[in-house]
Amino acid sequence: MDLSKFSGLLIDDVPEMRSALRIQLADCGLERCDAARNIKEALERIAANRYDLIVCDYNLGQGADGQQLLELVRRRKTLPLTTVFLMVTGETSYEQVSTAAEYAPDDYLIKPFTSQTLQTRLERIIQKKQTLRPVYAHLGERGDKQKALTECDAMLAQQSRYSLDVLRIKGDLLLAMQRNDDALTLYQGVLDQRATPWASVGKARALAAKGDDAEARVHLGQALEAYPNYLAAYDSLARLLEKDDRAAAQQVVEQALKVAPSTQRQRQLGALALENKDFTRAEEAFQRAVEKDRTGFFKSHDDYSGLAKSRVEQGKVKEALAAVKDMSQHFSRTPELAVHQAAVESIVHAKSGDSAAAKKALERALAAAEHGMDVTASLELANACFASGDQEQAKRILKEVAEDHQENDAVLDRAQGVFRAAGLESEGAIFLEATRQRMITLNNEAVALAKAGELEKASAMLDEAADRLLNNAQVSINASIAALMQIQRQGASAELVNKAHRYISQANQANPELHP
Amino acid sequence: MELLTLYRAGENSLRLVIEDHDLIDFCEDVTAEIILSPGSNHQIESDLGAATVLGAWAFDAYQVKMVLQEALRNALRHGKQHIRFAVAAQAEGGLRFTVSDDGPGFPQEVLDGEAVAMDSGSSGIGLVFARLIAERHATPDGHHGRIELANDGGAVFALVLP
Repeated sequence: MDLSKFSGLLIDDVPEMRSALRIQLADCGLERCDAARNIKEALERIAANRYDLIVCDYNLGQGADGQQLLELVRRRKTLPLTTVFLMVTGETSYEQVSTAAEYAPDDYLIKPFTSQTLQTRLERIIQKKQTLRPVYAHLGERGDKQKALTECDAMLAQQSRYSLDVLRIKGDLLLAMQRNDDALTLYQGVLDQRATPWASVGKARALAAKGDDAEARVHLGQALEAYPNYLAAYDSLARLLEKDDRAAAQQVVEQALKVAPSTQRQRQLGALALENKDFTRAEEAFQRAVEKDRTGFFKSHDDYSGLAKSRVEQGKVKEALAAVKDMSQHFSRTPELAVHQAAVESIVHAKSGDSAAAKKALERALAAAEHGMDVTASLELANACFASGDQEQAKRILKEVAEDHQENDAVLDRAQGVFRAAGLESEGAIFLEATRQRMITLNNEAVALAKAGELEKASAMLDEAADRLLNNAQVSINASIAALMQIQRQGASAELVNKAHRYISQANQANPELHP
Repeated sequence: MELLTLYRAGENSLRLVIEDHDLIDFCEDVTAEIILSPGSNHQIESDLGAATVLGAWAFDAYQVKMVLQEALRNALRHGKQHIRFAVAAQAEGGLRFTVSDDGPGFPQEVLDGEAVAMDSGSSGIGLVFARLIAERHATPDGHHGRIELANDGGAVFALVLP
């Protein structure tokens, strides 16, 4: 394979290693190769260029590692699936690279290695990526899953040598499309041939999606006996347990952390421990999440918020307020940050019994709040309202969030979590269900009005909702359809065409990924 | 390397990383790094027919590669000329890697499981290491890996993975 037509990026914080790797890559024929010395440079380069391959050292200094970088760029979708990502690691850290669960590198190489080995590995993964390109083209946030599935089936029919990779992708697709029986059949088919961890976990996920939680748990337990280092199994099990046994979920996350420490899991542990009122453990976990990364690229507001909450619950008011202050240290000062920070400050004061200070901070938070701000800030604001005893205001905010994110179960779960933290679990469930019903009614009524010929009325109703609920794709689409029906009836006007177009793009941009 | 692994096993911190690996690629990696000494008339013949049929298998590529390379180096030390490296499916399920040579075969005490060294001239921990890695490979339905030693026109070392 001729590597000279490809462009590469090499990431390593040690200058000597960088030049050695660059020489090895040149030996392999890769002439066009940029270099980055740290996370910041790497992110800039990845944002500005489209690389065919990235070779990254695991240890990047300042408490940052290549795995974190990979997770960040894959999650933000700044790194296309077609870009090859090869991780280079020492013998002692290879386990951590190779156990990475969700965002694994395409391959990893253990130092030292020869240019020949490097070339062989690069060629193999490039070959694989190129063959799988038709599938990748339809994957991702805005991808067409049905088309991806068709491409998978075409490759399976040709008995591609990458059939197993295709089956893995197909299983994920089927689960994402909630074709749970088909997914189960696929995984069982693989397991009938031989034991393999990904199919074991896939089978458990399919069982859980079908509602058979008990069977899924047993299956994951057995998988972990055989594969005690397979992180995806811990992640699936923790997700299952989070539903009704958070203490057990916390234990599972603790175990996973022993296998491979990751900031993401520390965060998850902190959140669970906070819910379980295990405040010392929560503080420890958030502390680690905050401390590990000295670059600031992998931190989130929530880490400091969790730190503040777990501290104040232990009576450490001063330390809690220090965490609130630190919140703005690594982030640009957006209105969202101001809301989030003031809300957490208010919670700390409320919990420590200083209701006057709590009220003042809450007022600041409410004044800074604006339409369309992110879910995390909104939910924290609702938390603060509850903490100060302002249930009306809290419910107003939660209603807005729930209506806006009606189609997003993850957000609805988090909204329910806010009710739960306020000790209003059953009331929250009723409240959220009522919101859901209201949205269904709104859509139904609009459709009925339109059918009855009252197009203007239907359109006005939907426009009002769509302008308010930027993340509710269903409402935006219906508003757009109403505009199109008006065009059909009255002929096109610039205003109607613009409106139809605006709501379609709004639906298209609804529900951006919900990560810090 | 083996010392580190054994140390970790003793500390209970040895972690196997079980993932799918393409068998053809893997077997190529195993033999590619074995360097024959200059002037040697040894030949390693690979029989990878079954690898194409099986496609992939789940195991810790790093550790299993160490075990197989140790077995190959051992065969090169004791074999006269022909070394065979083969992969095959087990009838009762499982995957079998075999390294065989045309040398004098294993001494009886090694076959009896008394001697631990794959080669008395080496670090003396080869077989302990191989057994450990094999046994740590397991499946959810309770199967474990193993090694099997036999003499058949030379030494036959087999690593069976579940």
